[in-house]
Amino acid sequence: MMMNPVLRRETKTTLRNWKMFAVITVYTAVVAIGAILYIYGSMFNSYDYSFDPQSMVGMYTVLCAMQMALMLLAAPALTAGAISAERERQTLDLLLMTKMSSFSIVIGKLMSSMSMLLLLMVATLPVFSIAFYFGGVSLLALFGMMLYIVLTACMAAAVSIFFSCIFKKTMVSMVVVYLLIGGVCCFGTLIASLMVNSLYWSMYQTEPNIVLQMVLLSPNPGVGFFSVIQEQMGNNFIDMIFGNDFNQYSGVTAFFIRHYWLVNVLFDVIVICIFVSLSVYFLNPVRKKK
Amino acid sequence: MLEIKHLSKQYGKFTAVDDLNLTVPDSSIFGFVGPNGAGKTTTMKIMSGLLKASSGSVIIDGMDVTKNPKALRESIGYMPDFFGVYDDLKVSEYMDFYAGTYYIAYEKRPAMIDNLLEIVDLSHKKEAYVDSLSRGMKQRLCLARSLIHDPKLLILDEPASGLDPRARVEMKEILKQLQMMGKTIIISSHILPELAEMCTQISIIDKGHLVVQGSVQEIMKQITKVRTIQIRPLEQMQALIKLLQEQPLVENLIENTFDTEFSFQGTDQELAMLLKQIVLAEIPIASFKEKEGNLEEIFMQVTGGEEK
Ligand SMILES: Nc1ncnc2c1ncn2[C@@H]1O[C@H](COP(=O)(O)OP(=O)(O)OP(=O)(O)O)[C@@H](O)[C@H]1O
Ligand SMILES: [Mg+2]
Repeated sequence: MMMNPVLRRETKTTLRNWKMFAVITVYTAVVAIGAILYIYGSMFNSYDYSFDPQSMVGMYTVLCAMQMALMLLAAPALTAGAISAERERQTLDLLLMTKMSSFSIVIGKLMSSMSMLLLLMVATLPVFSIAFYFGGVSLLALFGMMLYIVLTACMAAAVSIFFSCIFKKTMVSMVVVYLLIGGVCCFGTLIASLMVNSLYWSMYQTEPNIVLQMVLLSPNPGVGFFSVIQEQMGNNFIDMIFGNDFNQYSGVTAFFIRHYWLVNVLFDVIVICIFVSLSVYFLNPVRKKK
Repeated sequence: MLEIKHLSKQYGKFTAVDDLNLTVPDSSIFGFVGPNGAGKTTTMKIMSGLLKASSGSVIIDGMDVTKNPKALRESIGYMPDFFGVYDDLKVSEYMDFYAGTYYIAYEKRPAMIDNLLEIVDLSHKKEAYVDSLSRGMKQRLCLARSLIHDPKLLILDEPASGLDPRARVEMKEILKQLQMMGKTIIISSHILPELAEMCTQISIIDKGHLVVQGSVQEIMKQITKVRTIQIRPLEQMQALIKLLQEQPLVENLIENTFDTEFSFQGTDQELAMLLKQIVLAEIPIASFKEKEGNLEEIFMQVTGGEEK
């Protein structure tokens, strides 16, 4: 098996560049400072200003949320220039002329961004091990959470690659992706769901169809995140989001409420497939029609 | 090897290439000449499958470029007019990357890369970073890169631009060497004389139209229907000028300090008649000769003429 040439080249040059190590250091520092602030905060909030290992569970949630937010910020920053930077430095034509298919190029770019993100995540593991050490979480839970975060970041990266194929300027792609992921996926879906909710109450004096709500919130990485936390910590974030009496549901619906993150995972996988295909299509210089 | 049939390319309403027909024979060096904006780059990009033609077709080895672009990439080496390099790679790594994009086995690469760098005379820069190379070296590196998969057809868009005279000569040598290795080379340039001595075939295009095509000699013949005659009289320059001005076949008369030049639009017989007239007028002639067709002038004549 030969390693994807694009991935090989990019890993080689990134690892050689001191900038990457600066980024890793800063990133780890940010996560570590977050952890320290949290410990201090919880000590001041406790009655006897002491350290309470119980708060480690909360710390795990906060750290993971931070990790997730940072990953969603980092993914477009690393990927939005994947194609447009090649175009800007006039190497894209050379790359397109080679035997590499557009698909391998896109996948190579995607994998190279993802490997950088993974590197960042691995670098923060020592910080997470504090929560782990005090018995906050199991290793398996942490691993599962990481997987969910990686998949979400991959979704953001796939969308970024697509925009980097169609926009000339890297900055434009980056802004568009932030607006889409932050504005539409995170806040847009939440607002839409709240609006539908109040609309239903005012019109029918009842809650909206739960399936509609679930579909509306499927792009929201935050809801999925809390669903994973609920799965791992046994608290009830998701019940709060979907209304309190979800016990009335049974069968498939109940299953998906309980494991709501599956809906997000499904959404992410579909988006990745669609946007990778679109990128491959738009990368082809002699595609059928504009 | 390569055939272009009724190729046209429009950018919006602007027609960059208009009904172009070309045939490039096997293992030839095919020169593609034209002024800025003639459509050379556009045509070459279409040939390499990087641009979609508006109509017409490019056929390489009997295969339509648009039908099977992937198979053709293996037989085409392309060097664009402007190109960038990955500046954080060494020369050998740069070559290795492109070897990778053609899925050449790892263990075969070092020998291949050494060999290619040898051809373009960059062996001594093997461990240098690509962005530390001079422009001419980058150009040669890009040529080596386009050879990495041993393509049968090389499409080189102005490979000599930005090179000093010595490097141009070296580039020519490299290309001749490649031709001897059995490759077909299509090369573009603004400068006709530069291509003339190395190309087996030349086509001149202007504003998307084919002006002439053929071997250098054929083109000279086709274009030099109008020849330039130079006469140097010993004395009586004014009498000579007066006599020439009366001739219907004489045009563009130029009077220099010691001689006179004009274009003559007649047959050899008519030219002989003219000389006889001058001799009969008892003007002493020291020299009477047809000026060698100057490629540069031909080019200007062919590509500039229609503008008026
Ligand atoms: N992407 C484009 N959009 C619009 N017009 C274009 C585009 N690319 C080229 N053209 C136009 O097509 C014409 C031919 O351009 P082309 O680059 O093929 O010329 P060329 O012969 O390579 O010129 P040069 O010697 O300057 O490299 C020009 O008039 C140019 O303005
Ligand atoms: Mg050009």
